[in-house]
Amino acid sequence: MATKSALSVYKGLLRELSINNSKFSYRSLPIYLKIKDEYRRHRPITAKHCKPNDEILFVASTYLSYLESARKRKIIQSIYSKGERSVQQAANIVGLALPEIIDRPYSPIDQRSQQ
Amino acid sequence: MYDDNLVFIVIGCWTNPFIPMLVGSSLIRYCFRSTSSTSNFGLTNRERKRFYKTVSTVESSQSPTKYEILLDQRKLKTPSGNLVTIENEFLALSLAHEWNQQLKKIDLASMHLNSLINTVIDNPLKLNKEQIIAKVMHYLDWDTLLYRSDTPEEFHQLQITSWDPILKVVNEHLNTKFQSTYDLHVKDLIRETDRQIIEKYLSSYDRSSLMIFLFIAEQLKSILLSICLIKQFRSVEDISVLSRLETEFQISRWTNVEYYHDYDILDTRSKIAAAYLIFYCLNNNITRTIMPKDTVW
Repeated sequence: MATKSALSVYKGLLRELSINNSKFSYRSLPIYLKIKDEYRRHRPITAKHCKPNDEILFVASTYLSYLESARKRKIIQSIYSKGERSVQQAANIVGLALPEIIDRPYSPIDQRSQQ
Repeated sequence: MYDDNLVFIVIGCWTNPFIPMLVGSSLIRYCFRSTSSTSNFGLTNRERKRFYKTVSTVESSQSPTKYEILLDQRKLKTPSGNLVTIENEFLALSLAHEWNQQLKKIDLASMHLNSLINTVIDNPLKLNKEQIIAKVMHYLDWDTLLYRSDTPEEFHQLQITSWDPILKVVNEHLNTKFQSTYDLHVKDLIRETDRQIIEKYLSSYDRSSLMIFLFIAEQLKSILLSICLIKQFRSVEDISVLSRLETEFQISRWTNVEYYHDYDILDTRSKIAAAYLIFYCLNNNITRTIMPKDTVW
């Protein structure tokens, strides 16, 4: 019951593989060769051995979904894992600053009374 | 299961600073060089630096073909020290890719393929097939799909339109007669014959697959949805939404909170996607690719 077409899943996989691979192209990845090979092997029909329709495509889109959701989850975690912003930071985002609080140091009353 | 390794390494650090280095060069573990506290048993989510440059897969035996993962020259091992050997090529490559994706730090918590494969190989709770089936069957009595709520009316309708097709498909496929209820005090909602059918269906799989199945059922809180996924009736995206239908309904009414709802659904989705991939690879042999041996990237 895969809803995406084989080509869009393939494109999605390539996109996921090329993210974070700044040093090398994804073309050198063995997993890429494997996926390409599988795609070529099942080109005419995406069902293998006359099993239920789109079996291999289902696996491919599951893998795509795995890569995608793991990556997005990491992004959300990196954004929100630092806790909430302080009032000052929140004000800075919208270009405002908190009013400066003029506060004199606390003068101990007890000592003065002793003197 | 972790204390033996941990104690050994920690003692090694106190007595001789070179021992942990020697251990580290041959073994890769969660608790590698954990010197600080002995109470966390190496299970903390403390990120470690990427200590390897290249990840590669090698064939360790010809027939049946088995693959091992190499981080530089070190063989990947499970937390209890077993060698990670995988029979399926696609699974081995995707596991290697997962290790390769850890760019600067190793985030074990996000590596679901890795942790699931470790669990399957180690079997930390030492469960046998019957025990796992009993654990899975426990979820049948509290299946999400069977116990429903009739208020509010929109949610009631939503449950019927989205869960009834799943029930119908499962009932047709397994010749069962599962029925939903709106009452918590129904006796014998699951008929004995249906129970036997599910048990028989589960026992057709081996222990490793059942461990994965248990993991999926735990995530989805539903055996029927798990069967639906295994039989490829619905995609991973659909299944993960169906398993948290009420949350989705509340989101549609109120609003989506990214750092809670999105995080939650992405987490579930990546977990069951990883579990499904392993389940599929354990039960189906994806054909081999002709590639130069010992490919390194």
